[in-house]
Amino acid sequence: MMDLSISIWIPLIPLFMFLLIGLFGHRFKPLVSGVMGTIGLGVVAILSYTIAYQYFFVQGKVDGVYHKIIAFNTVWLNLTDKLHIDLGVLLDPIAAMMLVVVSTVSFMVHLYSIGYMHGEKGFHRFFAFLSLFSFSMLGLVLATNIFQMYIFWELVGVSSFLLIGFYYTKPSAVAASKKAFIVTRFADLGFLIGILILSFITGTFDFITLTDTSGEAIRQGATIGFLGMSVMTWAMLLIFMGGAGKSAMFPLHIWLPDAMEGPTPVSALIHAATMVVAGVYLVARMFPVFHTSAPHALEIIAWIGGFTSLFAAVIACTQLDIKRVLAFSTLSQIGYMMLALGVSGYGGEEGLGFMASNFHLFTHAMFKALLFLGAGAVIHAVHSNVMNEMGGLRKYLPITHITFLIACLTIAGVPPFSGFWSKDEILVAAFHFNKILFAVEYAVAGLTAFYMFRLYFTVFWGKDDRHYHHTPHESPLTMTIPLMLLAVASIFAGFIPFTELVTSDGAAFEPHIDYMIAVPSVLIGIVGIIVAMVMYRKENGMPEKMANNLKYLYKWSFNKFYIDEVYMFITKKIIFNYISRPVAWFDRHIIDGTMNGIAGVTNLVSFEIRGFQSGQLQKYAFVFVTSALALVLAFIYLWTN
Amino acid sequence: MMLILILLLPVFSSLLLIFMQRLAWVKFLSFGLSFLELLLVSYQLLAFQSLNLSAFPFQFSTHFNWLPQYGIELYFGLDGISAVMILITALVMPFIILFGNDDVLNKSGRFHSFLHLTQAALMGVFLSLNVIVFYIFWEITLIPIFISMLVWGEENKEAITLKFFIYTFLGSLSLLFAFLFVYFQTPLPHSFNFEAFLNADLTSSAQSWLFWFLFVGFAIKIPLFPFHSWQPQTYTIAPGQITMILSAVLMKMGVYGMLRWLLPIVPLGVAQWNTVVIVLSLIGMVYASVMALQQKNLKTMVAWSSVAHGGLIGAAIFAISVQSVQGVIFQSFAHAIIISGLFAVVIIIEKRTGTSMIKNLGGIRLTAPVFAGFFLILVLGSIGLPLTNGFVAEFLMILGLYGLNPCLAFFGGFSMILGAIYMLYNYQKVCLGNNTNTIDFKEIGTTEMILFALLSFIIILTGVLPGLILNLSQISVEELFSNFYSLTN
Repeated sequence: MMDLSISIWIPLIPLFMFLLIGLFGHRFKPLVSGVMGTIGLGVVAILSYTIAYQYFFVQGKVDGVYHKIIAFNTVWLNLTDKLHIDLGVLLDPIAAMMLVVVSTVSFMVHLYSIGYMHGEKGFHRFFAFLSLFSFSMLGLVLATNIFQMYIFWELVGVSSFLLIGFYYTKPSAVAASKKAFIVTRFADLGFLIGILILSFITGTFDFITLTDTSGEAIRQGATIGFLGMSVMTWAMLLIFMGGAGKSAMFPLHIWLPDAMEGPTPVSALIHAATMVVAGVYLVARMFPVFHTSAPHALEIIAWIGGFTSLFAAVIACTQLDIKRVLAFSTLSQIGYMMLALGVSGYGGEEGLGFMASNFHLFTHAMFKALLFLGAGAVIHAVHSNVMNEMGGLRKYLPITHITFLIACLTIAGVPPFSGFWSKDEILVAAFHFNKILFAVEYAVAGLTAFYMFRLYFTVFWGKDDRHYHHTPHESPLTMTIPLMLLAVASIFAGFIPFTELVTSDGAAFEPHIDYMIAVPSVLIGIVGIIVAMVMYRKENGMPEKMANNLKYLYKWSFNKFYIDEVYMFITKKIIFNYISRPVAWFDRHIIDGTMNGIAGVTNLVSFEIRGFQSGQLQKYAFVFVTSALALVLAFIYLWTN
Repeated sequence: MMLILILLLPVFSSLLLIFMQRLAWVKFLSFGLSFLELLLVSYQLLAFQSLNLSAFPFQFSTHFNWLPQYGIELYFGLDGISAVMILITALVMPFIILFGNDDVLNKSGRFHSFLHLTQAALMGVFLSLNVIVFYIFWEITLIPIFISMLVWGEENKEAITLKFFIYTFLGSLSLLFAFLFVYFQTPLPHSFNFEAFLNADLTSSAQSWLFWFLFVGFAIKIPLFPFHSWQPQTYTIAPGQITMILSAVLMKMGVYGMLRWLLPIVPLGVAQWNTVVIVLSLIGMVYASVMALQQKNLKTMVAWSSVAHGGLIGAAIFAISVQSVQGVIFQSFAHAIIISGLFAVVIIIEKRTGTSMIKNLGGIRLTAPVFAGFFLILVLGSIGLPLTNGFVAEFLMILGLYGLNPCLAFFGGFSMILGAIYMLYNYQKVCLGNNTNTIDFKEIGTTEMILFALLSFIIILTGVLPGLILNLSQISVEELFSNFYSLTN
């Protein structure tokens, strides 16, 4: 038996690396900072695997059921006699799974960045921020209570802010970082209020007490109503609001596409594999509470997830920037995960959606990180983000090409790649919940295959004879090794027995494949691929014709359904013109004006009464006596009352 | 006796410095004396912490007769609330002195003398337990500030100083009137001592109007909406170091006054009016945030941000719960550290570029990355990021508001978003991007780097270990409310 408390080092090592590189990085050669950060994350990855192995196969299971283990705990802030905020390490199946995801992807991205960021100004700053992010994300994953999660949640937001704005001289990057921070912080206010309501109802922040399905806490507050829903439903919806902000669910999704202004490894790590799934992780973490006392909230989550997945998939079909296509694809896939949680029941096979969501989170992290890193290799080679300026790259970038193709096949749900297994489970879960949502998810599966292969064919095939300024060349080994490793993970991750490891109640159940659902979904994916191949394999003018035929749909999709413009209208026009300016006017003229007016009146009065200061003693005496009398009278009056 | 020493050392420093006019000596001496004061206060606070605090509210109390026939005596004492306040006063002073390092003012012994005199008066305000002595110190704080503003202020200083004077003077009159009224209700023989005031026989209708006299007097100092209109202009034209002391410490006089001389004295008035005041304060918070977003001058923007923070503080004081008042006291500390850092940033930018207009700035990070980094830490502290002290403070205050009414908490929580908007917006305008105007902006020197590093260290240290400050005041605040509840119920 191994002492699990060493898991406290998992977040502490990146924190130490952050301080070391951040404070002294400029004294080393740039490469030293990169290598130090990477070695740090390598150690974290090894530790994480060890802990996950220990948890899943040695210590976690008692009588066939996985239990939550507190590996470390300390009280941070005492609020009242009963209520206190702790910091610590909690291990359970989803935490152990997320440890593997975060440390793997983070390690890969560190390694990749040594090559990708080579020669950039601020190389050490980049690695310092990556370590800061890893620290915050691992702290979030290991949180023992919802308040600790909130603390690291905010820190993750700041790391994301710093990394999106890494190119701080570029106005678009600066604007994007600010937008991401403010939108998610708005959502986090909901999260915080939700936490407050929850803690006031249940009297605890602690995850174990909160999610104990046979305990007291979970049943509190379900009967108190407020505006047509129980207080618990409100609390859980507000908490979900925080999750929706980080996971960029509609209508809080607007920051994610802009966040692509950050360096590509950052997009891979933060905005594809780890931070943006924090919302899913949050809902999964609180799942028993959702299921027992706020089933309506869960239903809302299912619909928001379903809608976002379709909405984003439609937009992804028309975008031209390769990173933005991937960003909308991320939105769509996270929508899948949210939907799966929303439709899930609790315990055994009922909890299929829960398992499927976490399964998809895992596989998605691998293949989406691969896609982004592949896109980064392409951008690195041709110095452009725009698809129309690419084509025929398969000849120049063979490793990137093959790994990218594997990732595309995985996300399109082609068996036996991992995406097929996890997506299939989600479809099954949706099928048992609601047929409309199920149909939507089928459509999304087709659209996903289409836009991914549109991207693939345009970049790697398409205009074969395109001339580039410099001949594109394959990336260095530090970049291609992570690609190859992630490709391996994307292929084989589907064979991990999630039904035994990560389930809603910790007990294993038997998986089975429903061919009535699996076969059509594969066929739809293949249709999507074929359509994309016909349209984009060679230049043939078909995409333009298609765009003309579907003029309005194309335009709305291309402009992301004008959601950004709506926000702009509300913030710039309404808030600035109709709130901010009048307030400024009010302050200058009413508040300050009144005070100045009082001063003016005093001035006037003193001007009028200056006759009193005549120098005549009798007059002074008279004024003095009458005033004193008046004061005495006033005092007597106040006394007697 | 240590308390008397804490009080007298800055008086002595002030007297000494006024006769010193030589540059090198003045700086050295002024800093050394303020540091000595900090050591004294730290020593006293360590002694304070090791005491058995539940025995009696005021520790180390000392009495000297002055005018015994009127119940006026020099009565000083320390409890948890004043402990944090004198810590703030002593802690920010060395920073304020050193941040003006290459300023012309620093050559002036008179200026340093005024700074120390202000500190002496502040110590008096936080330690006095006789209301007349309190009031005298309260007034004395203003004298050096007024003179400095008139002598060294920026454009239009006469009009703005006059406005500031009239505002604070009206506030003081309102306080004096209320104090005199309460004095005549104290048990015979009448006394101005705190304990006598606690036992004053005040009917609920008297408390009802007394509340407003006391409230206005203290609210002007913080300032709370709608008594704020002196503040942004004053902060903008005052010499940088005076602005720092105004925002870091003088503002806390109003907070302290409410906790010491309002909540315990007129509990029924508080219970009657607290909702009105909370709503007013929260309106003021949103209002000030909107104004901060509008500003074209960086210094004025920071001044408005201070009004916004004051709004939440005002609301939290009247939320009447141990958590929210603990949050208020913690925020007094956190805000003092952060706002003096922010004003230091503004002063440095103003000195280097000759302007504090936001539109002329930008791209400072390109040439001064360390400076921009510290600025960012201060900004993040100001918007209440977890693991900075600003977060703990805002959270405790919002928690207290939630206990009163969840909707108020939601409204109060908007400070976190609005703060993020105006702070990041202006940070971006000043530090990021690519501006040719600031291309020769030099990186800050070693002294400033050390000062900023220390401030950042305090921000994060007290953010990670909030107990360092919270434990000082915990028992006193609990005591305050146990008295409060027994009087209102």
